[in-house]
Amino acid sequence: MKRLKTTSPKSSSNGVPDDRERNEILRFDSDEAQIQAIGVLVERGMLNFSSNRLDEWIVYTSVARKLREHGVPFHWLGEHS
Amino acid sequence: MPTSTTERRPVDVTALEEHAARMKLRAGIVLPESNKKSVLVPHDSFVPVLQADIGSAVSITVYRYRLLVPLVQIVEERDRSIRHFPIASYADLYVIRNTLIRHFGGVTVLHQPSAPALGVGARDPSDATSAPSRLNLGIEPLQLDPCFLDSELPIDGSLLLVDTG
Repeated sequence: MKRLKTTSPKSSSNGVPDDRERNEILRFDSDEAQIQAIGVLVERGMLNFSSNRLDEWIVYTSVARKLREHGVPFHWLGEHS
Repeated sequence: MPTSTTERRPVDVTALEEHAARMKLRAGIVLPESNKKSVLVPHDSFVPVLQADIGSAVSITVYRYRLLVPLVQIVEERDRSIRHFPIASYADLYVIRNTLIRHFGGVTVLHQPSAPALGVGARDPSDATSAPSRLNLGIEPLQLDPCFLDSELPIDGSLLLVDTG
C-alpha cells in the first residue's frame, strides 16, 4: 500500500504543540485504509467521525493526528496540524 | 443468532438495497430547449427516494435514527472467569457506514465505550442453562444525522439494535 506523506505536528510559537480541535477533512484512497482507521480508533475509544462521501471523513484534529501517529494512510485536506 | 464460540458471518446488507433502489433527482434541473423527447442526466444526479431533501428552501420534517452495533460480548464463565467475544468487526462497521451514506446521504459514527449498554442475564442461546452472564454490548452507535427513513425499512436484527429515541 502506498505510504502517503506524513509530517510531524507543528508547534506554536512557544514550543507547545497546538492542541486546538477543529473539524478536519480526511480523504482515503482505499477501503483497507478506512477499515484500518476504524480499528485504530475503536481500540482507543476515539471512533467519532461524520461522512457524506464514501472516501471522506470529517474528524476532530486529535483524531486525525492519532491516525497519522499509527501510520494510517490518508490525505489531510487543509491540514491544520 | 450465532453463538459466542462460532465464527460470525460478515454483516450482509443486501436485503436493504431494494428499499433504496427507487431514485429521484438530487435537485431540480432545467430542461434544455429542444425538441428532443429524452434528456440525458448523469447517474450521480440521482439519490434514493427515501433520502431527505436536506437543503430544501422550505422546512422539512425528518427522523433521526440511531443504530446500535454491538462490538463485544463479555461473558462470565462458570469458573467466574471473564471472556470477551468480538461481535461486529471493523469491516462490518465499514459496510454499515457505507450503506448509510449511499442510502441516506451521510452518517455520524460515534463510539461510546464509557457508557456501554448492559444486558444483565443474557445467555448464550445454545447453552441457556449456563451461569448467568453479562452482555456488554460495547455499543457502537451509528447516528444518522439527519435523515428520512422509510418506516418499513428492515434492519438486520442479527447485528443491529435500533434506538429510535
